[in-house]
Amino acid sequence: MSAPFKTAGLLKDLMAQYYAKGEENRKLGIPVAWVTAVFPVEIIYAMDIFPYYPENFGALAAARKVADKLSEYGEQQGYYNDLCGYARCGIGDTYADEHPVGKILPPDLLVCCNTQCGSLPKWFEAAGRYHQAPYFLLDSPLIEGEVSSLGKAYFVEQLWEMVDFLEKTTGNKFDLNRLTEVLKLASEATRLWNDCLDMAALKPAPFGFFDACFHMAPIVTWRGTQVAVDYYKALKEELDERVAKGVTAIPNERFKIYFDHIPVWPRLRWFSDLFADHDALVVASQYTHSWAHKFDLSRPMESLAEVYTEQFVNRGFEYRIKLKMEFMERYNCDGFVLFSNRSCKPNSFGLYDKRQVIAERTGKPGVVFEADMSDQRFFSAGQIQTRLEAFFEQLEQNSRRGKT
Amino acid sequence: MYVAGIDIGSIYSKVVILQDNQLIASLVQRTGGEIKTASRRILEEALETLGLKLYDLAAVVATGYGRISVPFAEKQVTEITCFGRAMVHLYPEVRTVIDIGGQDSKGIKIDENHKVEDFVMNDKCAAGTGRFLEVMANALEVSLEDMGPLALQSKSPEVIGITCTVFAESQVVSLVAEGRSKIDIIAGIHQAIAERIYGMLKMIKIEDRIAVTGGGAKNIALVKALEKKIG
Amino acid sequence: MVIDDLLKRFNDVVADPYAEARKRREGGQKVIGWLPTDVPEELIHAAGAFPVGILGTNEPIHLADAHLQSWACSLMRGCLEQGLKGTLDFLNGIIIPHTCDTTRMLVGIWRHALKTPYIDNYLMPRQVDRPSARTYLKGELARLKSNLEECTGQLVTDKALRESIKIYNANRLAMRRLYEFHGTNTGVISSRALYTVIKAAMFMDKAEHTALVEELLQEIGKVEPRNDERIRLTLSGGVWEPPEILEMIEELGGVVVADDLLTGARYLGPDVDTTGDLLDALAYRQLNRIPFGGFDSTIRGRSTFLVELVRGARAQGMVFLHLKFCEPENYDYRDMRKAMTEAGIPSIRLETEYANTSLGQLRTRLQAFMEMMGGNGS
Repeated sequence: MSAPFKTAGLLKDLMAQYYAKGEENRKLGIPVAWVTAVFPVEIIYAMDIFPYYPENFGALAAARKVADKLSEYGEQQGYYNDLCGYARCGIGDTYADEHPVGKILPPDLLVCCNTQCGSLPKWFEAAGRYHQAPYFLLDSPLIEGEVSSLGKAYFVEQLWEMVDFLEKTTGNKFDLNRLTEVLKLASEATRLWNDCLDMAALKPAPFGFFDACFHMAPIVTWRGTQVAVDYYKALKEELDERVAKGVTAIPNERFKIYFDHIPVWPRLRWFSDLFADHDALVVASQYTHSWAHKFDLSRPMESLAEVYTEQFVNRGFEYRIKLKMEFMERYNCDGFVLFSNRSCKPNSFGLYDKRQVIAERTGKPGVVFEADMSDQRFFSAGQIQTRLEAFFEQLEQNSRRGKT
Repeated sequence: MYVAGIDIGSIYSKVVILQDNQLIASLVQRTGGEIKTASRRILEEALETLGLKLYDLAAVVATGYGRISVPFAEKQVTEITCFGRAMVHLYPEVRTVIDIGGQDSKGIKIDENHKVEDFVMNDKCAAGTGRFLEVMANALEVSLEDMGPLALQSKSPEVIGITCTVFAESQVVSLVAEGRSKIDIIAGIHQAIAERIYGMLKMIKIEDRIAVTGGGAKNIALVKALEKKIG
Repeated sequence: MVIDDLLKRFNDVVADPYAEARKRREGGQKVIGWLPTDVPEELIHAAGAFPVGILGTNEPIHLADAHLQSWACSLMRGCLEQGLKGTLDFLNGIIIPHTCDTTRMLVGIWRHALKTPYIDNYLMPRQVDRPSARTYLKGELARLKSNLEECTGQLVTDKALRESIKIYNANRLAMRRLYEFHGTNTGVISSRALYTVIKAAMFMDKAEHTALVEELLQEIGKVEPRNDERIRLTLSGGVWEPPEILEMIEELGGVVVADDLLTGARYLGPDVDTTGDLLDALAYRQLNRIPFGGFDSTIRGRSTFLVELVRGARAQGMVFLHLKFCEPENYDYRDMRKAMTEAGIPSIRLETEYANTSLGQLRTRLQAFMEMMGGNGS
C-alpha cells in the first residue's frame, strides 16, 4: 500500500464521528435505520433519519481480524459458517459477550435493498425479529439482459411505498425539494470519488485499489452529505499533490491489474505487499466503482430507480463480463485476478466461466482464487500464493514477449 | 440375570456385562475387520472371563456407529440415549454429556429424569473430532497419545482456525514450514477443537454438571481446554 | 395388491423422471423444463409445451465443478451437472426461477455453458405483502407468457390457459386429498410412497397423474383404517433427499404427516381462480403460497406458520431437512427452532446433500431424536 495519506487522519476522525453519531442522534430523537450499501440512502438523509450500515460493521470487524471470533457467537446460535461473513459478524456481535470493534448499533427500523444479494434481506429480517423493529424490503429483480420498464416501474412504485413506510414509522415528513439537495450532494461526492479512482490509470499511479478500499468508507456512509464532498475534495487535492511530487503507490510499477471484487479484508496488507513485490499494482475493481452515478434532478425518483437498479450488482452474466473488460481497458490492465468469495455467491458464481471468457476476449492472463472476505478460517495462504505467483510469471512472460 | 452392552465405535469397540445391574466385566478392543464377526468375538471374549456363554445373556443392546451390524443384539440404541442412561448409574447428577468420539462429537443434555432433553452433533466435517486430532498428529509426525501431554507444555499456543480439516491441515503444515514450535501448534490444535466443541454445545445450553466421554476424554489437554472455555 | 401396482407406477416415473419428456420430444411436442421452485407450469402447458421438473440428481457431480463452486447447494449443482452431461438434451427450453442467489446467478452460467434453445429467468417479487408485488408479478407473468409463445410458436389464449389451469387445479385437489388421507390413515401407504406420488406429478402428464391418484384414492379408501402408534412428524425445508431419509424415519418408528417442502406441500399451494383475469389469478396464487425462506412474508411469519402446521397435523416433532449451503433456510433456522422450543415441539435439523450424504450419521441423529421423543429404544 501507498505511504500514509494525510487524509487518513481525517478519515479516522470522520468514521469515529459516524460511529458515535448513531447513539447521539437517537438521544436527540433521530431514528436509526439500518440500510444496505447499494441503497437509495439519499431518501433516508432527506428525511432526517440516520442511516447505519451493518455491512460497514462487518468490514470493520474483518479488517481488524476479529470476524472469525464474532462469527463464532453467531454460529453458536445456529447461524452456520456457510453464510455471508458480514452477516455472521453482525449477528454474532448481537449475541457476543465481547465487542472488539464496538457494538453494532441496534436499529429503530430496517430498510434493505436486495440488488446486492439475497443474504442482506435474510440478515435484516432476522435482525428485525431480534430487535423487534419494522423491516422494509426494496425489491429489485435482476436485470439479466436489457433494462426493462417493468422492473423500473416496480422499483419507483416501491420507493413511494417506502416513503410511506418511513413517514408512518418515524413520523418524519418526506420533501422532494430536500431530496433534490441531497441528490446534488451525492452526485458531487460520487463525481469526486470517481476522479480519485481514475488517478489509478496514471502510470505510475499515485493510488491503487487497496488504497481505495481504505478511502471508500465515506462514499458509502456519508454519501448525500457535505461531509463526503469535503472529504473527497481533500483526497483529490492530496492525490494531485502526490502526482506533482512524483509519489507513487508502489516503488516500481510495471503491471496494472484488475481485481474482482472485494478485498480479503484481514489480509489486505498481505495481498498488497504480494502484488507490490511483483511490481504489480491493482488499479481497479467493480467494487470500489459501485458508487459512480449522477442523478437527474428533474425526475428524482426515476433517477434513483435507474441509478440503483441498473448497477452491476443487479446485472447478469454478460453485463458483468463487459464491465470488467471496460475497466481493464480504461485502466490499461495487464491481467486480472478474480476472488471467489465464499461469503458472496452473487459475485462469485459464474467467475470460473467469466475468467475463461475474459481471457479469450482480451488475450490477458487471469486467475481465480478462493477465500473469504472476512473469515480467515477459510484462508490458505500457501494455495493462494502459488496461484498468484503463477499468474505473475505469466505477466512476466507476456512482458518479455513485448505484449504489454 | 446377565445382560450385555456392546458399543461398536469407529476406532474402538467396548463391551460391558452386568449382573443384576452390577458391572461384572468390561473389555475394550480396536474395532477391526468385519463388524458382524468382530462384535461377536469381543463379546465372547468378555464372557469367557466369567465362564459364560452367549446364551446365558438375557439381553444384549448394541450402540455406536456399528450398532446396526450386530446381529445378536435385541435392540440397537444410539450412543446418545445410552449416554443419558449410563449417567443414571455412573453420575446421576450429570446434566450435560460431552462425547468426543472418533467420527463424531456430541453434546447431550439430560433432564432430572435422566431422559435426553436435547442433543447436538458435529456436521459432516471431521473438525472437532478425534479423527481431526489423528490427522493433525500424522501431519506433525507425533503419536496420537503424545498430543495431549505435549500440548500441556506450551506457554503460547498458536491460533489455528479449524472450520475444515483440509484447511487446518494446510495451515498446520505452513506453520511447521515457518519453523513455529511444534508444541505451540499442538496446543493451538487442542484449543481450536475445544472451541469448536464449545461452539456446538452452545446450541443446547450447557448445564452443570458435565461429563466428558469418548476417546477425547482421555486427552487431558483437550479436557483442560474445554474446562477453560466453559469456565 | 392393486395399491402396490399403482404405487409402482409412480415409483417407475420417479426412477426414470425424464422418460415422458423424452417421449413427448420424440413425438414432436416442445418440452420446457423448470427448476424449483414456483414456476407457473400452467403457462407452459397452455403454450402447448410439456412442462417437466428438473430436480437435481443423486449421482456423483463432476462436470459442474468447472462452472459452479462446491459451496453451491447440491440441488443446483446437480441440475447443472445433468445439463452438462447431456441428460437434459431433450429440452427445448428451461425456466430458472430466482429463488436465491444461486439460482439468480445460475441462469448466466447455463446460458454460457449450455445450448438449451430457450433459457429464461423467472423473476418473482421477493416481497409478497405490498400492492406493488402483485402489479409487478402480473407484468412478469405476461413477459414469461410472451417468451413461451415465441418458443413454442403457439399463442396462449385465454381459453387455453383457463383449460390448463383447470387441469392443474384438479391435480392439486387430488394430491391434497391424498395428503389428507395419509394424515388420518398413516398406516395405509408409506411416507415415501406419498412423496413419490407428489414428485411424480412433476414429470408426468397432469391429467394422467390426476387419474392415477384418484384411482389410488379409491383403492386406499377401501382399506380398513389401522391404528398407527408411530410418532407423527412434520418436515420443513427444501427437498426430501436423499430419499432414504423417509424410509429411515419409518424404520425408526415415525411417520411423516405434513411438510412445507418444495417437493411436497409447497408444490401444491393454493388453486388458481378461473373466473377473472387469469394472469392476476396466477399472481395471487404465487403471493399466497405457504411461507418459504426465499420470500418471506412480514405479515404471515414463517415460525408461526410452522407451529400451526405441526399442531394442525397433530404432529409430535419437527425435522428440518436443510440442504447444505442453503442460505435462506439457514438464516431462518435459529428463529424457527426457537419457535418450536417455545411451543414445546421437539425439533432436529438434518443437514442433507444430494449424492454424498453419509446416511449412517443421519440415522444416528434421527434415531436419537426418536428416542428422545419416547419412541423406539427409550
